[in-house]
Amino acid sequence: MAPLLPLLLAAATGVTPAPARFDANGRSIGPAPSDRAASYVLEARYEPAARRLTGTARLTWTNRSDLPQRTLWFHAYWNAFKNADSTFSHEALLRGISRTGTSTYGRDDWGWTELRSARLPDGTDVRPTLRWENPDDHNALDQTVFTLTLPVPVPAHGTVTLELAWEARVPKLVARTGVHGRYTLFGQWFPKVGVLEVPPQRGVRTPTWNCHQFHASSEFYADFGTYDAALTVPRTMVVGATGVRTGRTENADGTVTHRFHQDDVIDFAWTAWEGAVEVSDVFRADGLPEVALTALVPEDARATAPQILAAAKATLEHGGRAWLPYPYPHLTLVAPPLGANGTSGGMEYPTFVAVFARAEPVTPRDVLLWEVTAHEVGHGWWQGLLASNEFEEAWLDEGVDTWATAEVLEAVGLRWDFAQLLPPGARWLLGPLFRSSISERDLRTRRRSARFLSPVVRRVWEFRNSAEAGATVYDRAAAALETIEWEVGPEVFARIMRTYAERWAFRHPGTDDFLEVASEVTGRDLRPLGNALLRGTAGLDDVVGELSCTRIAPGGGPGLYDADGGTPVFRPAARVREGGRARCEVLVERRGDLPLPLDVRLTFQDGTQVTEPVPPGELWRRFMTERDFPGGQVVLAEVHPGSRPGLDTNRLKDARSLETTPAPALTVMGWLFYSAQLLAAAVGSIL
Amino acid sequence: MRGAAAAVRDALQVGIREWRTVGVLLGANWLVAALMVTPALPGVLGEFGHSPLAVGKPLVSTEILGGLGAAIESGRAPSVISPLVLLVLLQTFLTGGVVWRVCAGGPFRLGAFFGQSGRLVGRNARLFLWLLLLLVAAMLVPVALGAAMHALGLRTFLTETQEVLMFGNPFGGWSLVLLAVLGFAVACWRLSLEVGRVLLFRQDVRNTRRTAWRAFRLVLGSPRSVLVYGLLGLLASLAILLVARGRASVPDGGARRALLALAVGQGVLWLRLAFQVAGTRFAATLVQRLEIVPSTDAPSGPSPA
Repeated sequence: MAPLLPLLLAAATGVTPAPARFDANGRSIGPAPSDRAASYVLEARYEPAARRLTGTARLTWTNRSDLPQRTLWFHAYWNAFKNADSTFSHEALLRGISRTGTSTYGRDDWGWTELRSARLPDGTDVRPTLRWENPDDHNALDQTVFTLTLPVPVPAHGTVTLELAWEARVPKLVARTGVHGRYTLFGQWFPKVGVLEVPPQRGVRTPTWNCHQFHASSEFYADFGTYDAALTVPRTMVVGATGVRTGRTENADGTVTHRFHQDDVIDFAWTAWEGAVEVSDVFRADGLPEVALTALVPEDARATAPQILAAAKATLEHGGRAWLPYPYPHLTLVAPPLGANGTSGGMEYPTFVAVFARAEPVTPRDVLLWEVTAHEVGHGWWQGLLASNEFEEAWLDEGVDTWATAEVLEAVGLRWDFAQLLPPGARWLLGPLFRSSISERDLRTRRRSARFLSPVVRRVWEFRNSAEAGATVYDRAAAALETIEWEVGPEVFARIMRTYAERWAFRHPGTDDFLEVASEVTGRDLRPLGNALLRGTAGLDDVVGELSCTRIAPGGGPGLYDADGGTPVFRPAARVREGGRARCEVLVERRGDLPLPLDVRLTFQDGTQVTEPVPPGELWRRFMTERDFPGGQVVLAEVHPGSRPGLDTNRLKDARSLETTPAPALTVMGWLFYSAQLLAAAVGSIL
Repeated sequence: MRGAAAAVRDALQVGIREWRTVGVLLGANWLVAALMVTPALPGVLGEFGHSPLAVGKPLVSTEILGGLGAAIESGRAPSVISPLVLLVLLQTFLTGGVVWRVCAGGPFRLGAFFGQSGRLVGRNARLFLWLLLLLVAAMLVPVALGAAMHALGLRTFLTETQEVLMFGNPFGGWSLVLLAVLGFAVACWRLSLEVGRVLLFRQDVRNTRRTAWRAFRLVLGSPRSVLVYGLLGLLASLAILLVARGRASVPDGGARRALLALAVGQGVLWLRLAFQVAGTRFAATLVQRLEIVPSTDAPSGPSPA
């Protein structure tokens, strides 16, 4: 009967979905798509009153290298919230990362995790070999990375199984983890093995452990594997998690054990939330696999659910057709309760994302909810499937996903209207003051510059501060992709992204892998451009600096001219009534150092146009024309006519007209004057 | 209740009738605003003067806001502090003229207006400084109430997390209660200031400290007047917001529209200043109603006729 079900469904809905890659229990159909280097069977019990989490994890780790490995590296992420001396706390305080700060923690807010035992199949406990490591900053007080040393090395391409037991105190909600009232989000919550990178993965020459400390502004990196979890919580709590729900058992002690399973993912996150409202839906589209959807929303923000589900479907549809069909059978969307959006909203885990909740969203489409959902669901591809190293090459996740978010919003025709950000009571009255229609792409222009202080490819905690890190790995990286798109054309670029997604799904691509795909698809070496954009600091700011025209009398200007006899004779300036020549000068400047082709288009008053290149390497060039007046006057000069490279800053300076343009200046000065009047009136009201 | 309605009606009528007084106040506002924005003019012209890509774009667009940002970053930012200092001096000066107009009535003469302004400027300034102390005291009431509400676990806009502004609704019941108390405290203080100014004018007294105290006691003794004055303020706020909304609804994108928006914006300012005059008139009526002074013109002021 089972094969008939899709047919019946197709007949009923008129939709013919693609064959699934995973079954209804989250298990892969056919060969495993990933190498499953690190798989876990997790069992955890959460006691919210005591904020205690106890758990066991059976880790099956495969040594993918050609060398035996005796020492295994692990993350103990929650120790980042243990005290003010963790690297995470230091960085959050020093670099002003508000939503990840522990600086406001009180006595009971701190959290920690502690490994109790780590047993091999023969019963040997290797817990006594635990050694804290601090590979990034030599902070001896940081306890977010540790190693365990085995009595016998894991042979090359061999496997080891470890039974880990741990206990943790759940911190007050911080950095997308912890407790907020009756809501708890569990991210990075179990002892997690690092990634042993093997040649040629991301350019390593020998097998190398990549296991960084928990930094305030970085995200994560992990191997693919199979996750099977049994989560025991009080009966009153609603649970959502990575993967597919495979069971629910009522226990005699008033708890419930929820079981979830998912093959071929890189992480497992979950939430336990008393009072959450659960809403289910299904994504169905021709030619794409079905995805069951679950939204968990606060009781007082129920209206959020339909919008985030619709946004998720739109993203699954666009991503499935443009990049790669989303393979997983289930996706959970968590909209945190009020007060927890800033610290836990806007985060991605495999098949489990945290978005935002609004008590009274704007209908029919709230851009804040749609944007965050499109972005987080988009991570399902650029972090979930193409599991890049977010510590060292965060742009491959955040930058690509920022580009992808703009694609989705453009596909559904949604633009930013800042009036939607107002609180419900103020929208009608103050809405017109903020009404706008700005594309996601354009919103990112403020992050562009003629020169940058850091390359895009950099370890995230090594940026000057969190603002630079965010601006670089999100917006500038997306603008860099748009610049490549401008260089190769949108259709070819779409092929690059699809090929990149198909080739690197269920693996760990690096920057060079992306550039190699781009070069292969285009048939030209894009590595120099890609390296300049991603590994250099050059920006792009091509401008029309000046445009001026003077009218020359038919016989020439005033001065001394040779008479017939050869003696110079003074000729005064003639009053030009008609005719004459128009002599125009256009100055074009390259204010950034990015070596991109630069064309200039001159439009004359008679409608003719001339396009001239600025030779590579020239930082500026002056174009001079002399034609009959008036039709020969240059009325408009434009750089990059037709389309503009994504990284180009200062859009206004891309074109200059001969005639003045009073309307924009009047708009701005009028608004400034009115604002000044209001300020004066406001101050005057207390005098 | 009928008396209160009549007082409000009278105040509003005076606010409308005294259009010349409002015009003088608007002129001062223009002067200050012009001083604020003039430094930005070269930068704005430089950015937008020959910018075809900015033509037709609304104010809230990356082109216009980006260009404005570039103009400001180049050091052509509007000036704020010095013009506001001038505003403080100007408004303190003009207050005497406004009080004269609402108390004395009669034909408007600019010379007389400035004469009264000059006559009272020193006392009005001293009165304001004395009453600033009262403002601090008045603000303690809503702050203390807010703290008490917080201690009791009641959520108000003072204690709500920042994200409530974007994700929730900050205008809950307790927030409205606190806002009402805040409004009453502000109204109490502001009415004391207005009453003090009227007393200074009508009684021609020199002791501003005593006048400030007396005005405050009078206002405290007439809480219904404070309520009505607060309602007048609420009415003013709503009217101003409505016209400001209308101004914001004028679409951007052209020179004519920009000028139209500026013109509608003057309506916002006009309304604001007319309500300011109406508020002073309300205070004058209150002083007269309480029969503190005989309803005669100021002894040392020029004849209103």
